[in-house]
Amino acid sequence: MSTHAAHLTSHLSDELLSAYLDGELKETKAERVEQHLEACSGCRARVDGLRRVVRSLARLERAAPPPVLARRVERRIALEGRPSSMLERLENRLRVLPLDSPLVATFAVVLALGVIIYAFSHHVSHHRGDVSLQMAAPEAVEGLMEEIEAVEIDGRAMERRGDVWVEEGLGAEAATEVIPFDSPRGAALRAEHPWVEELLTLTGAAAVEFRGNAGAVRLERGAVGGEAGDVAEAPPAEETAAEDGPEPESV
Amino acid sequence: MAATATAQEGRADDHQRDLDLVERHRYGDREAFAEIYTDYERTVYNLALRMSGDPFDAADLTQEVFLRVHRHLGKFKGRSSLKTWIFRVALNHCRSRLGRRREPDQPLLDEEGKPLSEPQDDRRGPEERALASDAARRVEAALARLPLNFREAVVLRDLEELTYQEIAEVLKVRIGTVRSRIARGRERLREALEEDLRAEARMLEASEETPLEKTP
Repeated sequence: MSTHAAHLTSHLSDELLSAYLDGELKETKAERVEQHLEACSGCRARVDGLRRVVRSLARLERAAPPPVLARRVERRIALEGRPSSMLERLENRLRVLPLDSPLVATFAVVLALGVIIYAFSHHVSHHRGDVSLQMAAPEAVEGLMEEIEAVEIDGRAMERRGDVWVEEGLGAEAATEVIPFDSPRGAALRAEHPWVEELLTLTGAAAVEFRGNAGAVRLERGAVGGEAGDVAEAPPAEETAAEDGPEPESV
Repeated sequence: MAATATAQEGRADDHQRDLDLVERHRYGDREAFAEIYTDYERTVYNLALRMSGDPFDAADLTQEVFLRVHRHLGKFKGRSSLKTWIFRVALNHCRSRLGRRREPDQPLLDEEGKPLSEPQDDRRGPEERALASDAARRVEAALARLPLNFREAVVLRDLEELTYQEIAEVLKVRIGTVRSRIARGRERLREALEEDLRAEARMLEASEETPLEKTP
């Protein structure tokens, strides 16, 4: 009794108070902490301060992952073992398409053809993956390798014009308000229309023009947004593969 | 006593489920990985978000983490729980990627410590709600400014609700170190937030008149 009692008559350490709040002390020790707290207003104030911190943290909201992320991961896993950066870019673009969209079939065909042409033109021989790419190979598709021209996202038909995605039928509207990506208005818009951020990230485009609630807007990336886009565009798997070396397949 | 026994049974069940999932994954059952993904997507994403401070990066990091999980899952031996193993893969990956690149983004703050990038809400809600959401922003900002070691420990404990033992497994450090990092992280947060917390406490007292209860 004497050593603990002596210890606990001096003020309690932050570590002890913090572990006490977490229920990480043995019962006897927790009881002694409680006895001390009853007698010591200084330590009581400190434990209350820590408790408020813990409660503030517990109240923080957990963010929802982007809705396309699961499909993105699924497809990246399906493409494991195909270390072509072009394949990854194509894949990055494919993943913005909702699976139930009628456009998906079309784009899947286009992408698959693109992949085949790319593979042939680079004499890629390692067909270890499992994406079904058995398509006839008309010659006309090559140009489509460059960019996906249109996607359907959030129920909107979007068309790509150079570095800008434009909602169908919007091109002629003159009164398009330009909003910087990182401005407060930009942040509010992104919160309201999460698909915009996805589209920009996944395709590396610079701006999106679409119909917001208050009319046509153009959300434009500045330097900071561009940097984020670069990070997103960098194919992570190459890096991972380089770090890990060839992994034996676990499946 | 009964509660402890139940908790132990729960852990045993979880452990068995972990091993079953890994076994199914080894035998090529894609559903097994899908289940794991569903269980941990949000957790890993939020962890990556706290570490990177950027939703774009967090999505990329999450994807990379799950690629690693998929690749290495077959070698999981069940010495720890799948949960702590996934946390470890995630944290290690975040550290190596973010450490190599730059310090995590610090939110840009104005003179009042309010993030500049936050949307300005024109419709004035009730004052309490405004205060509460301001407080949350300040907590986020203070958390983002914590040194990485403290931030990891605090996030694992206070946001992910891991036990000290689990955190020790994730971080590969002793429990004493976990305890110290959590305490120091919280203490720094307390200092940073003291003013806000006082204001918030006054508001809470005024609105509900209920004493602070002990955190279970």
